[in-house]
Amino acid sequence: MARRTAAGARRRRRVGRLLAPLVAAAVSVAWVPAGIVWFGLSPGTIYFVVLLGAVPSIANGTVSGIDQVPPLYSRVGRVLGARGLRAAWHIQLPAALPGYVGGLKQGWAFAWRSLMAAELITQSPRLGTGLGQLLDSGRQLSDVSLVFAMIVVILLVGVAVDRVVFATLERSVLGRPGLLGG
Amino acid sequence: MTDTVQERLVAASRAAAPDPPAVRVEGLVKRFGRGRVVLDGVDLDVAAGEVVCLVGASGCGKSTLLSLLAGLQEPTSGTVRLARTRPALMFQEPALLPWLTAAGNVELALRLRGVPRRGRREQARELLRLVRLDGVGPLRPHQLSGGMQQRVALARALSQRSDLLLMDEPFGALDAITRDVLHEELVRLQAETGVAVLFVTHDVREAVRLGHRVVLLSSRPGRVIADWRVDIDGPRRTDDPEVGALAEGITSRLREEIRRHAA
Repeated sequence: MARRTAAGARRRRRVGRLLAPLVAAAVSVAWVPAGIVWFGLSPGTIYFVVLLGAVPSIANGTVSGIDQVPPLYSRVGRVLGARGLRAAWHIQLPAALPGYVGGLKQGWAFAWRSLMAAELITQSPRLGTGLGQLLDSGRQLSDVSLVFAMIVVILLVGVAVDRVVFATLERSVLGRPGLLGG
Repeated sequence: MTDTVQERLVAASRAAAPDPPAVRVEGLVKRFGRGRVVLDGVDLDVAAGEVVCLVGASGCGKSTLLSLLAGLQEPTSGTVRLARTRPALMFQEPALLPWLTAAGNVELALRLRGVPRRGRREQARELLRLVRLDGVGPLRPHQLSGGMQQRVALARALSQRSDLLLMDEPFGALDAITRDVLHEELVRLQAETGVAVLFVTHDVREAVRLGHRVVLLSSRPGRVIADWRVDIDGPRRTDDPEVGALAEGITSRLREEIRRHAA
């Protein structure tokens, strides 16, 4: 879905570049009340908030990935006889992947934070128990050790995803972890 | 069959039906926008199997000429007649695709040329062996030195099996020793494959060392103003006295040209 958004947004790059950071920045907590008003205390609110966190970053990453393909690579493609669709498949797409993965990474970060914020704020039997709700239970029970334990778990999940999922993704895309071109 | 008999036969067949020139440029003009004429009536021939080195001051349109021959840009007027195949082009940067291995880069070039999957890996390996990079195939570009990257770029260019190899100051960014080694490699490969080469450089000694002919391009507007035949036999070195003498002659003509322009 983010990719289709990005492809459409390509023409309206400048608008996208202005809006995306704004939406992403506003996501973390501000959208939760709106979500509750529109979706009630249901999983819909959670999905809404998580998507709002992830999608702008991913779209932004995809667009900037495509934008930042060095023109030299396109020239190489043309010299080797790749035009149009073949060039897009063999050159633009792989070249834009680091930007896309960067967008995924940022989207994950925003979505994770939004999720925790949403779980803290929305408490309802329909939503079950997530890390955010456990964190809030710690608050309600004035159980500081539970609160800190939850903070550690939340931190560990973030680090684990970054190390395991994203480092692997980056390594397979670029041959080494880290997205800086070299 | 002794060598001389074979040579005589080859010469006879060549005389009977000479190979068409690798490229014939006539009256090539390139203008950017409404004012700046970069190339103003360039006439240039590169015979089959010939190495022509193009020298000139910076900004005189040498690179533009190459990109016109490679089909990256359209001429404003004039004709470019290529022998049969699209020329291969090497840039100053190796421009290897970083998400592919060295072998992968060469294989992609083969694939884009239409070579079926079965032959690709073997041909890529053979080309890397040709540029003395056996075993380097599985490495990624960022793991290779500048000289090695340019060799891979050369292998990629050779994979095009073109009659004409266009080279745009390919060794400019390399240190002197690597450049020297690659000069020898280029001379060897050119003799082995018989490809015609149009080599752009601002280093006159390099031009004399490598070329059968050296052509001087004037600056703004670009036009061929002089053409030297390099008649130095045997393996040449950049510090050979004969190379130096001819280079000096060409350089003084070049200096004259630059002075005329600054005036």
